[in-house]
Amino acid sequence: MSLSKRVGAWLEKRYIGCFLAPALCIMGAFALYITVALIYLSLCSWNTTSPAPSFIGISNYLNILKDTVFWKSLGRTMIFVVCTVTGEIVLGFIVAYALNRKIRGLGVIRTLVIVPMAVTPVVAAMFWKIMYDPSLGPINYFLSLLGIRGPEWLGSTSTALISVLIVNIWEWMPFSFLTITAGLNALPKDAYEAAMIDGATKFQTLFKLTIPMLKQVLLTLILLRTIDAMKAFDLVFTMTRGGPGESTQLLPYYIYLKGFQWFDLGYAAALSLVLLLICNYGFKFFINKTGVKVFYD
Amino acid sequence: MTNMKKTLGNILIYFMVAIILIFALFPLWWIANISFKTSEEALVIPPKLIYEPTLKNYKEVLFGVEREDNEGRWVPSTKGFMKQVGNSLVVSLTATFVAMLAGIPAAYALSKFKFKKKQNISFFVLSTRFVPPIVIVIPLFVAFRKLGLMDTKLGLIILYVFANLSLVIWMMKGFFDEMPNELAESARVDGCGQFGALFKIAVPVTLHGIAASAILVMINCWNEFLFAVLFTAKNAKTVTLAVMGYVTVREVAWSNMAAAGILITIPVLIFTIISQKQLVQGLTAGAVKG
Repeated sequence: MSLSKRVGAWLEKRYIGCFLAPALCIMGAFALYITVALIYLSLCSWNTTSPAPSFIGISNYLNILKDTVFWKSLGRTMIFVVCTVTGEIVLGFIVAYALNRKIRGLGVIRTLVIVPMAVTPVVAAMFWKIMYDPSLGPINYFLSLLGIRGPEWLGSTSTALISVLIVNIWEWMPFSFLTITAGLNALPKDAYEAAMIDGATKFQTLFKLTIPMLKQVLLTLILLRTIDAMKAFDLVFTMTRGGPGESTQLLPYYIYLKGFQWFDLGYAAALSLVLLLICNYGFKFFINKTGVKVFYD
Repeated sequence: MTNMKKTLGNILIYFMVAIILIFALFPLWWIANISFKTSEEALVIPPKLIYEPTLKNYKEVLFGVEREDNEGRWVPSTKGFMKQVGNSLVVSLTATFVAMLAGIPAAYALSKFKFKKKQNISFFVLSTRFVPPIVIVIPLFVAFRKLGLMDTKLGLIILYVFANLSLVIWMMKGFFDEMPNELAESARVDGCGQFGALFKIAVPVTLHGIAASAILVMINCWNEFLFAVLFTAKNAKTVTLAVMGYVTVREVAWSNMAAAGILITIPVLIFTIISQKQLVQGLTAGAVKG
């Protein structure tokens, strides 16, 4: 047997390992390095006053506990995530439900609804910055035609977070719409016939039949969209830089500020590890608690 | 009576649909208009709804602006949009290719075979998707500076492969789950090894899924901003930074920015519309059929 054939036979016997190795090596190497480096750096002081990392134990973590800006950013992030995920899915559901019938031009309408999803997030942020501009933007112009004095949108601490939220919902509502539409199409027709014979109202059918049957789809959506919302950075960076004040400073942006504006890399590493743990255990908890069937059976 | 109720219901639905469409499309329509206006007209309030459209902004974005230098000579000054498009293409295509190459066999193994620690491996793959990218930025910043990968396309490609690998595995596992097991087994009876079964049978059968996954990874790379802004400075800048390039301390070139934004969005828009059905099925890992 030639050498190449023998190598081939050897590999063939270990096919599962061969299939998994490239991906797992890449991901494993990254994961290992990132975890070790984060733990090490988070135990160090490494900032403008100490230019090389020097071991200081857990004092970064103690400082996080006392850091009111951190707690406020965390709270704001939670509000942002809950609001945007709820908004996206509720709006997406309404649109999917309204369009789940035979009306003229359905295909075109569906395609038009999903357009925002295709806009590069940074580009969407810049576009909406024009929309929101209090003096040059169209929103306040049209409001003024109606005799309403529009708010400052991104310029005021009371409306900035809502304005960013609206953009995020605008961008991702189409994804919920697409997913829920697919879910609605897959529902068994006979259950509805039975409900009709029983004389159930539309309202009853919706809440007693449709929504329970869509449970898996909705849970999957909630998980995916929450994962994504926890990452929110592009919109904040491009539209508000966390401002005005700290009103739109979400946790990822706070980490960026600490690490790359104030060059407090040790502290930023500790913050990163805290965010990593929140996400990891939060999502694990969600998956185990709800029994959402994702990926692994 | 019921007829009137039905008509009324239909009117209500059309009304709602109209409002949603306005919400979804008005910003884009407005910006598209700005991109065809001269910079003087672009942001005038009240807005000019009737104007003479110009392609000047697009020309300036694509080929640079000609302007006078200190000695009164006209010099073409390009903001490097084309170079950034080139960078984005190279980085996106390479990262997608590598991620698919590594991800497809892994997804196949997780979908079709039973082996020890399978559940742990699956969960590890899934859990890397939980991680917000900002979390990995500081360790990688340190490593990239040591390895000389800052501001290189190679550095971005490495980041994007890692960032998208679990998505590829997640999507492709869903598509392989759909494939009947008998198909691969019959190939094995015909004398193909496991490798043959994967590349000669499983890959061709799931080609639509592979296309959808590749499109999504490419879109992700094309749209990516956080890594691009922190890990590139000059040479490896990508298209998302091109849009930001029109915002300077002195002024924001809104009409150029609008044109650049539209240009960047068009390819993504086309691919999203083409692959919308597979995207849903893939992104929900088969939990929802597109």
